[in-house]
Amino acid sequence: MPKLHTQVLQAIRDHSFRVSVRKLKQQGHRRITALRLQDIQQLISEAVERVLTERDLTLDKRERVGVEREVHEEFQRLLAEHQRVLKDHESVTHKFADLQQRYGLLQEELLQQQVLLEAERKRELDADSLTLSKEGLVDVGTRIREAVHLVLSSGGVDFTNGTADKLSQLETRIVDVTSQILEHERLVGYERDRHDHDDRIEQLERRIGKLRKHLADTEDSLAKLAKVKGIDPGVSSIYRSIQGLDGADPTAGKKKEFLKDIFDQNLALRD
Amino acid sequence: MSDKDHGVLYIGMDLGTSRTSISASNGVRETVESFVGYPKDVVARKMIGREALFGAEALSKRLSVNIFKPLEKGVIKSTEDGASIEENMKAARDLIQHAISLAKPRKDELIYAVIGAPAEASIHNKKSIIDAAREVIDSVMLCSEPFAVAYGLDMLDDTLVIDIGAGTVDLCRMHGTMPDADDQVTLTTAGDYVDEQLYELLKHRCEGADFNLNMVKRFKEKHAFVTTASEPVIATFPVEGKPTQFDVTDEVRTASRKMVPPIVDALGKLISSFDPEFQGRLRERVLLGGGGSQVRGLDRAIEEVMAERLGGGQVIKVEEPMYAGSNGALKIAHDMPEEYWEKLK
Repeated sequence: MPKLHTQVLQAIRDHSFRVSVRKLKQQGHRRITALRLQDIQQLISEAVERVLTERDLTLDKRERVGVEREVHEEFQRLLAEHQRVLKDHESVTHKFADLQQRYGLLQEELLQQQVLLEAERKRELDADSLTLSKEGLVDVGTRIREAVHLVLSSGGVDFTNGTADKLSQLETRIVDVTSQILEHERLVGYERDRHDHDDRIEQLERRIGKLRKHLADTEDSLAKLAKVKGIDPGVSSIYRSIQGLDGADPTAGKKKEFLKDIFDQNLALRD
Repeated sequence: MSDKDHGVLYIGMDLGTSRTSISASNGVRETVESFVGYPKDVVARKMIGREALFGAEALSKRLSVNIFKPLEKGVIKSTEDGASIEENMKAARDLIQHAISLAKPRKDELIYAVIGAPAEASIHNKKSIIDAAREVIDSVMLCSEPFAVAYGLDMLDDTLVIDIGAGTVDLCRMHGTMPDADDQVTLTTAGDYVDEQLYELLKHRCEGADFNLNMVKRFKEKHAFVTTASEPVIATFPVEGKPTQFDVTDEVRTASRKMVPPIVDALGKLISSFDPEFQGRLRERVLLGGGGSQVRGLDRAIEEVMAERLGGGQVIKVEEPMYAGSNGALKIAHDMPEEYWEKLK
């Protein structure tokens, strides 16, 4: 049946797809059973021939062409159905992979935000230091000038005594006024820092809360999809890259030697 | 493995005679009894629907499956009730692969594992473990079990580690360098030994009762203790089909205490052969881990016998005895440089 052979062959080609070994491995396939195109073709032909022989049927040319056509159509239908199922599965797999990727990114971002939050919580506010910007310095200078003017004009310094006394009183008053202004600035600065610090913590906590919710939602979607399609996605590691010894570990030097020894012993086992 | 672009999963495994535990960097921690069951025939296979069952599930279907306990005294058995070494090897291989699957690894992650194996394991055994693991993971290393416990707890200097398993008690002296053969002692007076002792004692105490070694093992795991005072320990065994209660307090205590003298003797050997200047410090840093360390009062009992025979000592019980080995192996895996993993792929 040369015509049927050609048709079946073409149908298989039309409805099949190529896939790399790597892709199969990625999908978790470790062993596959391969069926060559010619084998499929041969099996169909043999099946048709066998049925005809078993039923003791002899067909004239027209009938034979009819059977060939029906077999061909049925085969096409089955292949199309199979391809539809495969496409459906592929689409789910893609969706699943996208969700997994999103989950990984969310996890990473969550980790980063948690590190930032931890650092912000640990940051100590310096209540004893005073930081002034250029504008702030001009402002303080203006206020000191106003304060000195006020002191002099309000009679806060008694000029009826000797010059030295007058200067000393003036100096004391100016130091007092300056101290008050700077102390006020220090407190304002500290409060501002504290406020910023609290705001930042609150903001990070809100962000982490949102990320956790996204993460939980994504995890939920993954679980649902996995359940419906019978996919076991596994559980993601917390590490995106290879780790290694923490250089800040005080025993890192010693541990490095231990790890080298373990490696050498294992290398010897491979020989 | 360039398609493994998602991340890196580290796995620490404690491959034990009685239990196999894993800890992984995705937060999964699991333990499975080291039993493998294969369907006895086609009917059993169809009913079970799987090629192999593991742990408690295998035991629960023991009438339909051939049970293998592939590890004995910490190493892969050479024979088991007529089973060939190849069969035990296969069971060990399936057990290792099952344990790794319990970590739920993703297909797109690199998987690096460190397996705690007994120091006494033969080269052939170690190679078999590595071969089994390599089929399902990217790179694997073995390390000594007690060393993994010490590494996990950052007690790498002047520490004596006691790892009590079902098959062996492994003692290891840590002194800042990799322990060698002189630093390690392996005893066979471990969990299985206690089970056998208790079984013999109960045969006398519970005359007419029907029980087997497996039942005794489970009973011991729940009730073992070594303290002088205790609530009465009551065992219920069938006598001519009727459940009957027996007070077995003394028998459980006696059997459990049999572990203590050999451990203290081995401690004495490791302490006395150490630098005299640091012997005192070593005595005060005895780390007790492994599933067998869960026997109630064992740490105090060892201290008491150490006081009698060695002039004192302090025993520190690890917090999670079931996972101390696998947690330590996980930490080793985490710290291992990338180049080492690559070279062993």
